[in-house]
Amino acid sequence: MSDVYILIPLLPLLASVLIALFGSRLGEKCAQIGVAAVGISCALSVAAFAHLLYEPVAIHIPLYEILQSGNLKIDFALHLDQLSVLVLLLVTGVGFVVHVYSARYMTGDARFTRFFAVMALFTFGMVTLVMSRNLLMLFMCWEVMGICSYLLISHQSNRQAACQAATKAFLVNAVADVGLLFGIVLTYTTFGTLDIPDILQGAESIRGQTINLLSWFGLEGKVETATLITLFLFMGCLGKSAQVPFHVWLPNAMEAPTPVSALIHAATMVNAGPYLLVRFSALAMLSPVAMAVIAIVGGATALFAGIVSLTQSDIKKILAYSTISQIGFMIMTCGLGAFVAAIFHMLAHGFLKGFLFLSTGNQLANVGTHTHHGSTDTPRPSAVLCLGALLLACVPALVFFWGQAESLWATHTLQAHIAFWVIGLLTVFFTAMYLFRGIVTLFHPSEGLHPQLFSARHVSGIVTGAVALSLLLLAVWTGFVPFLVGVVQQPYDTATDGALEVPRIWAIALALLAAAAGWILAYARHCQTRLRVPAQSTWSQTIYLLFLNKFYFDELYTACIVQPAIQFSRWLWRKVDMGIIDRLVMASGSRCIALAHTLWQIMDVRAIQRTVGPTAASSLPFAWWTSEATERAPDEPRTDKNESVGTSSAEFRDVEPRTLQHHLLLLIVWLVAAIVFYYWLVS
Amino acid sequence: MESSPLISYMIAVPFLGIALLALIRNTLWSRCIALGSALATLVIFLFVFFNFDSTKAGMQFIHVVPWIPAFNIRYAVGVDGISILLVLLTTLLTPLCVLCSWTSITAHVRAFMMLILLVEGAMLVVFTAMDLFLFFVMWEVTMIPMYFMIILWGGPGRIAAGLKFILYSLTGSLLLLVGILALHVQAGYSFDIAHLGQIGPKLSGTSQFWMFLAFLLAFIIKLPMFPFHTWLPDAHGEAPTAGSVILAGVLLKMGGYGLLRICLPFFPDAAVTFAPWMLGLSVVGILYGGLMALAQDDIKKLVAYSSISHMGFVTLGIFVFNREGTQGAILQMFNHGIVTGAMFLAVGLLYERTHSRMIGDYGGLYRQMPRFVAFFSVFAVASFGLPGTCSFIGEILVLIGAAKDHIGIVLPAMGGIVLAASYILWMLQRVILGQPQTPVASQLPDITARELTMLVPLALIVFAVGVYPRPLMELMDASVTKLVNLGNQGVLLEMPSLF
Repeated sequence: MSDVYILIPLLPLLASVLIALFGSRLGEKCAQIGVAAVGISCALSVAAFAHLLYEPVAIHIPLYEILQSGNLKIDFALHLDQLSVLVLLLVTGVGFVVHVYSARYMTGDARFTRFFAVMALFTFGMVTLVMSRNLLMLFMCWEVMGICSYLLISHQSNRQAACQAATKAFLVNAVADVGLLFGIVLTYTTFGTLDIPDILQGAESIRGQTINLLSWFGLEGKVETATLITLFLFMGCLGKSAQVPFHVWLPNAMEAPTPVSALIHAATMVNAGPYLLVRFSALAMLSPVAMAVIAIVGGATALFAGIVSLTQSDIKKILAYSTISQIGFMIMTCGLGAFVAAIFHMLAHGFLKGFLFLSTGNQLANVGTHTHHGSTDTPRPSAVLCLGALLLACVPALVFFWGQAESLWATHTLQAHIAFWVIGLLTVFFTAMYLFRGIVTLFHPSEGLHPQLFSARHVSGIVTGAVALSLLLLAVWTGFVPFLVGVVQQPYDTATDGALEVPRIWAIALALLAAAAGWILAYARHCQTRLRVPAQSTWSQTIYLLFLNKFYFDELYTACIVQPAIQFSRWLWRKVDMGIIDRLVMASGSRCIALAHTLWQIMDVRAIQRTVGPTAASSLPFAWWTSEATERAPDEPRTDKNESVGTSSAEFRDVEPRTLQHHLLLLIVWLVAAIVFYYWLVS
Repeated sequence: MESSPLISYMIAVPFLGIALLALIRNTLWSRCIALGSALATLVIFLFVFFNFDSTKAGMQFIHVVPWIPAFNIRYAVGVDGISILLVLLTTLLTPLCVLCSWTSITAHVRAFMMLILLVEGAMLVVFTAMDLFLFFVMWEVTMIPMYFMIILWGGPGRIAAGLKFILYSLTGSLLLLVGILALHVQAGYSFDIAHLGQIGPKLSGTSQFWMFLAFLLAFIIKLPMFPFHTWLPDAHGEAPTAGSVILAGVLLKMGGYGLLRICLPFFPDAAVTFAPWMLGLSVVGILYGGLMALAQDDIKKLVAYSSISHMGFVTLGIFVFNREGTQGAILQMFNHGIVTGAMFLAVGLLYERTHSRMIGDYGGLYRQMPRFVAFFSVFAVASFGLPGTCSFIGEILVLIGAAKDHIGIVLPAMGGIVLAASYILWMLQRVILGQPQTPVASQLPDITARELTMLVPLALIVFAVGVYPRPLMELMDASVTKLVNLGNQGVLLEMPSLF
């Protein structure tokens, strides 16, 4: 019965293959295949969710044994538990909506079938990633998503920016994925298996175990195994989830068509990072060092991207940085030990952000440009869109401060506690601000107009809606924690040693207040002057420029990594490969030929002719073949000087073999050397 | 089947094809005969392949005939788990080489086809030989057709490339000859590989050391391994498409095969002694090849340098002396043959249309050649080991094998994968995406049915092995286990002083 869930990944895969093979014949009908496949997957995910709700036992579906070598045995199998089914709901749900949406959005596109084939393949990748029971299988899906993202970003291949963005996205991820792959190899050497449930069960056994990284060099470099594994797995998360310093690819990835941005770069693929962290929460909890690193990176990303988002003027860029910020928030939550809260935020954010992107796509299709200015059209924002933005701004507040506020900080010191608290509040504040700004400016592009966002009717409606939905979220939350018990590690026990005691209701009120403050401030700024570089003083201008240029991360990478790598490789090729290694070879070749020449001069021309005389010389075999070869020389392989100049070095031109003699003489010299070597070896 | 002449029949077919070609003058017929013999070889081998008993570690389908009894030289062939994939690779790629030369070779077609069949026949013997003398003779024979293919049908720099190739190969094969003769004398005048495998480990440390070195140099020049690699980019770059495919696809593997067949089982102590150096050189080679490829503007040279990087994984896998590593290395050889062979075929298709190998002369191919671009992208991503394609399996096995004892070198080796992704994607970006850089590039015709026939089987193998490598792994499992057990008996030798 439960084997039917195998169709969840299988159907999108089949759809992808079908569209890829027969797409050219089906034309735009192929969208229906994709929609149907993902639709059924979505329905099955809901069924699986219901299944697990009533019978909370993980479902195991064996597939096949992919390979066996020595002790390494890798079985591909699907694993459905409470965690994966929740993420599945998100992936297939958003995936389905996006498929339906893009069937219309992409109409008339020259590469319509390619688009749908890759979208279906992507859905397959993400679904299988969530369901995979084996770490290697997970990695394979991880990369399948990467290549799909590459293909979709480069969808408009005639645009240079799109191609560069695609390459950049894949390469940034490739660097991070090396970390993940190393983490996987390390996991295998530590646990002797790549089966995820087995690893998690055995996680406790490596507490305190250390590993010597520098053993190959004969040095001591001991690191705790759990820390090492977690940090390397986390490195993979950094890439896929676009965390600092690997975040640079995501804003550029907005070159993709809007539905892709919604599906991949906002709602699903970027969630792979937090998913992986939550999945391996048992391992991560073993290492306070790794947890601290995770929390700090997440917090830094959340804050950094939130501020950068404020300065951007392209709505898709705003949403991209907003995604980075929100995912950073999730990762910070993970690092603080509140894994359930992270998953909750992931789901809420995934749905809301997907929704925002699709609405924006509609709007952009109407307005026809990404940037705010240059359009005289002032369409009315839909109340629903505002509602979405409002909710998205509130979700972190709700999750973070309602969720497990008291127990978040048990293992951290008071200072760290306050720091994370402030980061959380600031992120909420900035989220509210940039979302408001983004929406207002999208709909009111012309200067000086007061944003007439809502008529009086709408205001009351929106507020009521927001309150109702917030309450709904909280209601879901209360059911959420028990559902994930047993799958996800629970946070650290509430400690009493100096933890800041703040009543929950105050915490959440404070957070919502921060959101409201951001909202109001953005409104006030908007009415006043919009998008003007603050000219009060130079330092604030500098800071503004710094954020506007995203901390110069792109420029830094280009100047410090990309260009040097290319320059270095060219230098290495010219100077070392051609200049030293090749030159040595050619020199030894030419020395041999020169030696052979000398020998020939001595043996043939002088010695033989002097002793035997010119007439008798031809009877000697040695002299015979030399003269023979000289006579035949013109017929020998074409050796015109002009032809061979091409690739050879200058050294080589001087000793270019003009006749067969050279080859034979060379052979003889080597033979002599070899015979000497041989006798020395045997004796 | 323990003993059967099937392998000999298989080997005979290419040579019969050559004899037949000698009688025919018609160009079309000579192409057909070449294709026919290559396919017949493949069919006979498939019989062997499907009747191969993967549970046995030793040689199967053995066929022995005395050749020169006075010197104890026999014609003895057979396959085991180590060689079967390489034979499969040879028989698979040769028909494709004939197909890809169908229209691109116009001068002396008959001679060209004879050379292809000659090199196929010789390689088949190298991979199946059970007699060291036979091995050596055929090792030499592969060199000659390659040389003539390069210097007669090659690109503008063919003479220089050909000479460099022959220089390196001669150096290598003379060392090989010295090694073989020395071993022959010390092992009581025998050329039997199985017998030598028992004598070799009992030899004194010093003679093991020097003989290992002679064999090792011969094999790593062929492989090629940094720093003996400079013949490869020139030879690959200048050779005609079929030559590049054979060279990259199969010929290089003779080096890896030699290491597994001769160096490791004959001289286990020396192998252990050399292992740290070889591992270090492998990693250097992986990174160095990647960096070199990044610097290239010539697609063929880029692929050639990428081969050096991939071969680094092979030596890495071989010298970690465990089953994961060794199986990964063999699989990596097979995968590299398929993927790089396919890359050269694809680049050859482009070259045939534009007569340019420069990356800068292309661009925006996706519009005119969507089918070509699809295949080219598949092989390109397989080349940097994208999971789901065959190369990934080979690389991850090697890395897991290496991680068992040498975790420190795994991370730099993985850096090679990032480099590979960089040069491949950068190349793809400039060749198939963006705007056409030349008028020629904007109106290239898409691939024909003949070209499709060449690329489809390779693409299928890339994915099939990528998602289900188990059948191939099982084939070699027993033989590799035996080999690794032999190798693990090695002890660290004292380094003999040079003088």
